[in-house]
Amino acid sequence: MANQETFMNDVDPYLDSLYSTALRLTKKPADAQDLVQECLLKAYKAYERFEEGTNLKAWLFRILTNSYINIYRYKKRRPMEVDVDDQDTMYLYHKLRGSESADTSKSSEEDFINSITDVDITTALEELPEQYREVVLLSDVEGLSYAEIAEMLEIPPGTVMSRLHRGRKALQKALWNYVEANNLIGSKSRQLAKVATQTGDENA
Amino acid sequence: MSEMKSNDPCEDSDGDCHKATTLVDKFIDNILEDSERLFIERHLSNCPGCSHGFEFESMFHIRMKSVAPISMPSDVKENILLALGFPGMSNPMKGAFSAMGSQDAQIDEQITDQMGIPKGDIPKGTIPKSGFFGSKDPLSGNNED
Repeated sequence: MANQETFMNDVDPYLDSLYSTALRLTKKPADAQDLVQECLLKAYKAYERFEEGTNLKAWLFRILTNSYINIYRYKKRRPMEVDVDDQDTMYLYHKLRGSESADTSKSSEEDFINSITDVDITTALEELPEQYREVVLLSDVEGLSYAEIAEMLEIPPGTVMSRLHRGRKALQKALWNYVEANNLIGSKSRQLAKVATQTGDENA
Repeated sequence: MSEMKSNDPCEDSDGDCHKATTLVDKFIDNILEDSERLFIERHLSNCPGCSHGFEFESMFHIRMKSVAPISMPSDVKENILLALGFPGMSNPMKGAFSAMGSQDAQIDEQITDQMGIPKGDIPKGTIPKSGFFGSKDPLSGNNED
């Protein structure tokens, strides 16, 4: 049984993760604050029922996602399910290989991954339909397991897997569209080439 | 991180490349069953195209995991702590407010001197008892405590 007296100290390491996920789910800072506040309020009230030694992060995220689902499903008054066309598996990889503007030399894909920013990824995440954004955030960004996500979202593990599969492909497509629309592929390659040249000059 | 192999295209004459790509999520999540792992290991060792693609997917997955959390702004943290300042939460709130460096001395004093102040004077923040949205409590199944 957890002690309410230590609640704030115990949850403090997870506040940024909770806020990040809330912001990436709601897309609005005010809603993210409300959501985290609602989550912490419920968590505090129920903290004596939290079993010490179990996964506090997963427990907090379960409350957060539950609150999010209750609040936003109610607000939107529409079903969550959004159909997404099947995406090509390994979409980004195939696009990078086929891109005329991208450098197709040996390690260009690795360079591309190293050059994309958190803002690029977050922008792409925000393009995803809700049910895919949820599982990609919880799995790939927050590192929660299929079983934990299934319990949080009250869906079967198989549904987590299928949403994650389609969500990852949709994310790669959104990321590609974003960097392509903003001419970031060429500029990123140029930036990398410039850095490489500078490094070479310094070493010469 | 090792350097990638060349961009050899997959010919997929036996359909194994297609079968392998259906397992890419389980591969990067490290949840392949034994028979699937054996198949993937064997296939990737013989197919430079798939090997290259799987390496890319693994690197992209690692990049996703490295997305940094967005720091909670101090005013947001302060607002939330204020809202959580209901009766019964004394010392933890005192520590939390001190750590935040609250600018509101009056509120800080109310919190830190909580033991000597009637409960009704302790700031409760801006949220109603049932929460911001009056939504169902997922833990208790009740709207109210």
